Amino acid sequence: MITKDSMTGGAVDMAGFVSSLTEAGTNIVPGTTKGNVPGRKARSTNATLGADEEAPQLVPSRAGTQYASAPRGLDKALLRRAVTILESFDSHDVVATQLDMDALRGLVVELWESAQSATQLHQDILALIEEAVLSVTSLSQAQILALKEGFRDLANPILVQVHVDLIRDRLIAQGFSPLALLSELADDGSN
Amino acid sequence: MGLWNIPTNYAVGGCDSMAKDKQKLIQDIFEARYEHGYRYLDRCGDTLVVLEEALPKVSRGAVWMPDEIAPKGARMKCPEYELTLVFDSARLGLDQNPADEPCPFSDIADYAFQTVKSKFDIADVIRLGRRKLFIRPTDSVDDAEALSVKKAPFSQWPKVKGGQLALRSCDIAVDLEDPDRTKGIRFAISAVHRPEAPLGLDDRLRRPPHLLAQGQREALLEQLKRRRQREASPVAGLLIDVDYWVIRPDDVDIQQFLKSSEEEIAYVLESFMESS
Repeated sequence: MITKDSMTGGAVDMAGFVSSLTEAGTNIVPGTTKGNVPGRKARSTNATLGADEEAPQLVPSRAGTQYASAPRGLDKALLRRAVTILESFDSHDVVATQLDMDALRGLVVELWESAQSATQLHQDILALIEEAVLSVTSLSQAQILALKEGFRDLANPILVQVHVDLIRDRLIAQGFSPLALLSELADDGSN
Repeated sequence: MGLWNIPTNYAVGGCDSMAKDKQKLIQDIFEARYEHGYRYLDRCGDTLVVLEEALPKVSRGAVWMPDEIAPKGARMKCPEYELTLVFDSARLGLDQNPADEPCPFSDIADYAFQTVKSKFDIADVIRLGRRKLFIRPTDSVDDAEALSVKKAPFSQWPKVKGGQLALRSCDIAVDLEDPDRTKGIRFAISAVHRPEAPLGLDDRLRRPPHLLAQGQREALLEQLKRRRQREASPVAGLLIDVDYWVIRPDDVDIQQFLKSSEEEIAYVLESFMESS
């Protein structure tokens, strides 16, 4: 059957041919086409229709609801810099590793300045990250990933408690701990 | 009959809806495509929990609820604004359909994207797209078809044998891209209708009520009803589909992209509506 439904932005099957135009289209989310979008063709053809049923029941807007402005977040440039350092982190190069770790620690300290105007949740995540970068001398790939996630979350102006809980879980799972340095020292001890 | 086999009442401008009504936004879509989003499979649950908690704060308190969670993709819905958010390992899409209710669309799109980027560790964005669908309402199927022909950039194409066939409706799509193909606009028009739309409208129903010999009040009420129908929920019209995209943007700033897409789409739409 020859079908054509360019409203789906790519789901085109015209006897095996695919239109480059429709492939370029920004995809419409499947299953969202509702009654307000009329059928594609004005006259009956073999086009695939079906966008006409289920006229939605609209809920009145909350006109009176005030949109609370988000507090000023952390310094975006510093956060981007931190992610850049983590993306290029090379744990095999001892000198570079030391430099990058020092840079990360410095960035975290600098971030605390802008954290004063951020939310408690931002400060909680920053504290977790600070604890993490101070507790290790190098980073594994999994640890880099967890830290990147933390820095990227900090760039979000609005955070919820789940953000903090997830970052804490992630960092603990990757072996970050305030006692990590001590455990390394313990290897040289009596055990 | 006129040159294009269009009933006379259109040729003389008898279609009252053509001249008076403005286009109405019916659907608004944002899409980001990315590479290496495989962590979707590990982090989908975390992401949904974060978005379910955080999105109401970005959406003026509107509730968001997970709708479908599967390895092929996850979907969340916000019934208050008729918004649907989907994401998977390759793309994130935000779709408002119908787009009747004003909402902080760009804030929601930005927040959702930043969350997915953080949780899936997205480094490379392949494409950002914004697509808006408008309808220029008409009263009938015939009106919609006539409008599609009227707004087409050509009058007689292609040539056909004999003089019996003429343009009845136009379904047009064009791509416009910059030389290095990093930015583009797809523009398309077509006549559309709902099943309940009348095929045509009697010419007498278009006459100004005060010129009628009798039944002026009823005629006026009918015309007002049709106008309200066109404004609230059009049964037929010219669908105008504008899709704007950038490929591999250097700076992935969603707010900036959405702002520039608004401007680009508005410009194209305005120039189209002013033409012919």
